[in-house]
Amino acid sequence: MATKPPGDRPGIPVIIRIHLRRRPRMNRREFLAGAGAVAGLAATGLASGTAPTPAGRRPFDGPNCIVVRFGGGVRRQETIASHETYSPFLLKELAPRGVLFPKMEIASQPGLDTSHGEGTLNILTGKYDRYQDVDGKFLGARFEAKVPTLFEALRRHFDLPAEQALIVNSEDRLDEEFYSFSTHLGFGMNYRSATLSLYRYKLYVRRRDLAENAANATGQARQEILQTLFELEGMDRLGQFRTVTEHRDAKGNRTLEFHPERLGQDPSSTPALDRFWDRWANYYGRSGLVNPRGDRLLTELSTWAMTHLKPRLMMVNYTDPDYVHWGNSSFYTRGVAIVDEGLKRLWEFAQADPFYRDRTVFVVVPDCGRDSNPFMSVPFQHHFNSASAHRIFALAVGPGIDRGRVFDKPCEQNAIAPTVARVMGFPMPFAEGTPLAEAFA
Amino acid sequence: MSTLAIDLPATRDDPAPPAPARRGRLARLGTALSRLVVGVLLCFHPLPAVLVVGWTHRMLRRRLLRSLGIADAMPDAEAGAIPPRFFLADDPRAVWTRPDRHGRPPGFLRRLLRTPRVLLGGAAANARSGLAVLAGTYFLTLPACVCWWVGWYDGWLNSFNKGYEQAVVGPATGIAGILCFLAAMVVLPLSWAHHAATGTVAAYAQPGLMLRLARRRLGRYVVYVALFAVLTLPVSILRVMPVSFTNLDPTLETASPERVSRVANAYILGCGVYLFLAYVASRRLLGPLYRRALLGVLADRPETADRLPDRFRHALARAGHLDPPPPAPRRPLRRGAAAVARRLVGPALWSALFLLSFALVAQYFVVEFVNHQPFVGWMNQPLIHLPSLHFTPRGNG
Repeated sequence: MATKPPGDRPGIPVIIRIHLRRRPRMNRREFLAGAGAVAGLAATGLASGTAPTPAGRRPFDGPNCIVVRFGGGVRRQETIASHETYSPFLLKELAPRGVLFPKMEIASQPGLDTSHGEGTLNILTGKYDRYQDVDGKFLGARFEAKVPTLFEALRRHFDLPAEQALIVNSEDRLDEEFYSFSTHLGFGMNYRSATLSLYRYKLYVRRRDLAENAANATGQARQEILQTLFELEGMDRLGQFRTVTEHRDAKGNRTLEFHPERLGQDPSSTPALDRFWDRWANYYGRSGLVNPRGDRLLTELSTWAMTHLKPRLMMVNYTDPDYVHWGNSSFYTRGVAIVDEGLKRLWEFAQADPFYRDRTVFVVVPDCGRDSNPFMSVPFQHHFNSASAHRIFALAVGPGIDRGRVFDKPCEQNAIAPTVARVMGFPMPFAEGTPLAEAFA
Repeated sequence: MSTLAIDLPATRDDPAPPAPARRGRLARLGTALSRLVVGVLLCFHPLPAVLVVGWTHRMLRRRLLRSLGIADAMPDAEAGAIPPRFFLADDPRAVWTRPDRHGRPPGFLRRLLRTPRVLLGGAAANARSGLAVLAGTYFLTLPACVCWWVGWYDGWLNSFNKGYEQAVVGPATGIAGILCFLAAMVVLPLSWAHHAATGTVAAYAQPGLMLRLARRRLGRYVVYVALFAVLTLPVSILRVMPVSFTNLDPTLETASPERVSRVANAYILGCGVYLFLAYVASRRLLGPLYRRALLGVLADRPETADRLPDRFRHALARAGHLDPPPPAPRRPLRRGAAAVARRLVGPALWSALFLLSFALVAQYFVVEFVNHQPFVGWMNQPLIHLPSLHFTPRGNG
């Protein structure tokens, strides 16, 4: 089979697109992505205007893997450690079909925070690391993985388009869209995953709307439309791709300019994703208010993706249980129940689709635990490095995985990435964890 | 000039009631310690803490009546020479030996029937006063507390509706609560003192008069609110401390319910020491402020006396506080300078008052963001409502 370039916009090398943005200062991500591309070009001898293509990329032949991040942050008490669980499907139906690791933990290391971004990157890279928001934002979680993520390792090893290595994210967790690729020289942006989120959808819809409406609108009305998209694009934390740019004349007057010719060139999208959003818009309209909300939206996006994009590796980053912290305990337990419903639907959806049935391994793992302070009325923080915030669990179910087994010994969250890599058959050389050998039949 | 000043002759020259013999330093220390112990024990739980509220109120009342020189004109027990007690009647001997309605000394049966009043007369008075103070305090602060409570609940719902549709309800309700609280704090402390002085709970429904009092001693009032905010700071710290318990001793995370309960109770009891002292201090500091503000307002605007309860007004009149002040010497230049200074300093002081009240709100919110206690966390601010940090450990879930 002919090897396709991994870039999603053939003919426009990523490195060139990045440099054409003319930003006053290149950030580390752009530099590293560019450097990665240069290294790739040099190594492969390809300098013909296409993205780098390592030799020997093979077509993927399964099995598929769906990683369900049981986030954001859940305790064992409400999920696997009690018969009165808020996730009955997980504990009573799914766990008996696979191997449960009830004593999985996040390592206690200096500087290692037990939070969603860190946990997600632990899962994706197989390496514990100290992360800092690249913008230095307080409580920001725009982290850069220094070693390749599962998506990059998969796509570097196999010939897969970005939309078949997929992250499904919450709308209000834009930082998590940043976890789709690392800064590692041999991997990086060219092997990133695609992202499905309501934010991506809105970006897509607004750009299309503008292409149709902005040309007709004039004066203030046009500027208002452009301002809307300018702000929306400014929230994009992946890159600085813009269809609306800002200009100031000598007197300092500000004008916004729309570049319809850039439509379809967004490096974070692909033609398949554009078609996906077109379908979504036809069904749910353009407002973003008709579709399901919260984590139910993630389940809906995931099942749509399984229907229309057929991802081989998909990570669903559930979030709703995080909306407790200092709020209402019932919000947390409701969030756990919603994730459990989502998990059930994903499982049943996979069993009903020949593309996924008996060819898909489900891995369920929380990004972090939560506090278990008996002196607090709402003990659901996870930033204070408590022992309970380190305590999580994992479940693996699917072909090649043992059935009805509980591995009741401590294991580590950084074992997830190498385990997934082993299931799917690609190397994960920079992961520090070792595959969960006990999972395999 | 008050009409009452004509009707009721002043009694400033009347002989003062005989002062009780001063007790020794050791005895006073013993009394203070015993009060501290009882107060701390009562602060353990919100229910008995009502007695602390009532006792502190009665102490403040006694202090105010005596400092205004109207103790003899107010027939309350608090006005007497013996300070209020927590449980016993303030003057057990008087209760015990009081003649019956025919003027005869009480017999054995009557004394026996009076025993509960002797033993628990103080508690009953404290409970009555405490409930009255709470009723008045909630009359002014309940809107803020309810807004915060609802706003907190609805604000977290925003996490689920992602900022759409009803997103504004939670934050708007919370902000409304803050505004209600800022408005309440302008009059609440002086209302406590006014209640204590007049003995009527209607004091909380006189915001106009309280504003006038606040304006009269605005500088000192700002200092008082600043002190109140400072006194609240350790309370806030004590409220968030349980967050770190399991970090200090990780074995507590899996401790037995009995051990958790033991540790929690010991902590609550320990917190009571500061809480009781801070609560009493916060009310004690009000006495001089209120007295000076009231007398100043009565001197400046004698017609203000008409807004005081009859009994209190009569007592003030008898004490000569409603006599017209001597005409001030006319010094136009000095008065003009004072007026200009007032115009300049006034707005700054009002701003400071609101900022300091906001500092209190900020503490309440930070506490809830670190260690949220559903309902109670918003409805009971220990130095304002019930001086208790009691919480029921949730257990291990």
